[in-house]
Amino acid sequence: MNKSLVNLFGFYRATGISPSVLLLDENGFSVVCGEENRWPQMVFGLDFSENPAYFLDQVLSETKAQNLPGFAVCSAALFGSDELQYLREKGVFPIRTWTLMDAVPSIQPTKIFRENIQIRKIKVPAEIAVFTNLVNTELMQSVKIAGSLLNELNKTEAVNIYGLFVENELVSGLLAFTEEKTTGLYFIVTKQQCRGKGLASDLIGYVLNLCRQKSEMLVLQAVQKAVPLYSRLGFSAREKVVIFWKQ
Amino acid sequence: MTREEIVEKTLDTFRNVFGEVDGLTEQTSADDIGKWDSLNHVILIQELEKAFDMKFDLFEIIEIRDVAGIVNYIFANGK
Repeated sequence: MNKSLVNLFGFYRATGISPSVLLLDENGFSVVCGEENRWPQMVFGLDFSENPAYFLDQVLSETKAQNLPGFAVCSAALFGSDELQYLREKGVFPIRTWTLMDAVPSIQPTKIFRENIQIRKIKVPAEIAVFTNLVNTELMQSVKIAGSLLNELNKTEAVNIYGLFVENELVSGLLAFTEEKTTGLYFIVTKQQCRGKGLASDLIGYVLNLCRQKSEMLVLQAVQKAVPLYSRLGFSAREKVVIFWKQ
Repeated sequence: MTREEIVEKTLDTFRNVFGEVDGLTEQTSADDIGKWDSLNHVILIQELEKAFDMKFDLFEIIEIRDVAGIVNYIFANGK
């Protein structure tokens, strides 16, 4: 299985801390449902061998029947126009796509850190709160992430949050989730007014260097417009994934 | 259909889906409309398909999050 998807699954499993984790591995599906109002609440499609559209609709219908949010993350390559048409008739629509990218962390960052910039791990709750606010303002739409959840996660070994400060103001950050020698970068965010200055590149370069000792692979999920940026930093596109939602 | 007609019809569809939006123009993006999240984007796509009597390439259209991009897509792919 693709390491990016495995890490993504692990990350969501970790962030969806909940007693109600249901695994359907024999069907190639794993269902993760967080408690109400926690984030995220998703269904993961990890391995479809045949008739993926039918299977996807069945699973989403079942989760919906149980009053769980009907979202699924799947490889986009599984769905051609016939499959999409079938799903459309069933009320299942793609709502976002990402490109899964990975990099071996031996790649040297190309950026040179600037004098007024400080990059370090974020630990104290007040800084986590600023990072959470940045994520919710700049990245999240209707579903917001709770600062208490990030605080909780930040106490675990698997999660490290890094921030880039310009004159002591947190303007860019990311969350690194490490599992089985793979580190996934999530919530990569930069304050709107500070974008286009290479700050996220500096931050990712810093994390690339840090992860060299403990991770064999770095992965991330990129929105389409960010793919060129991550490519310049040494990441390679592996595959496209799509989130489906049943109305 | 001219590009101007597409713009008008697209803006009308936006109003139907999101209600009155302050300063709605071709330059408006998802950042300007609070209700324009991923789920409402699906509803918007369905309404646009009805309005223009066409089927969109869903993988392509879901990543377009501004009015101008949608207009350009319809202009390039519409009847």
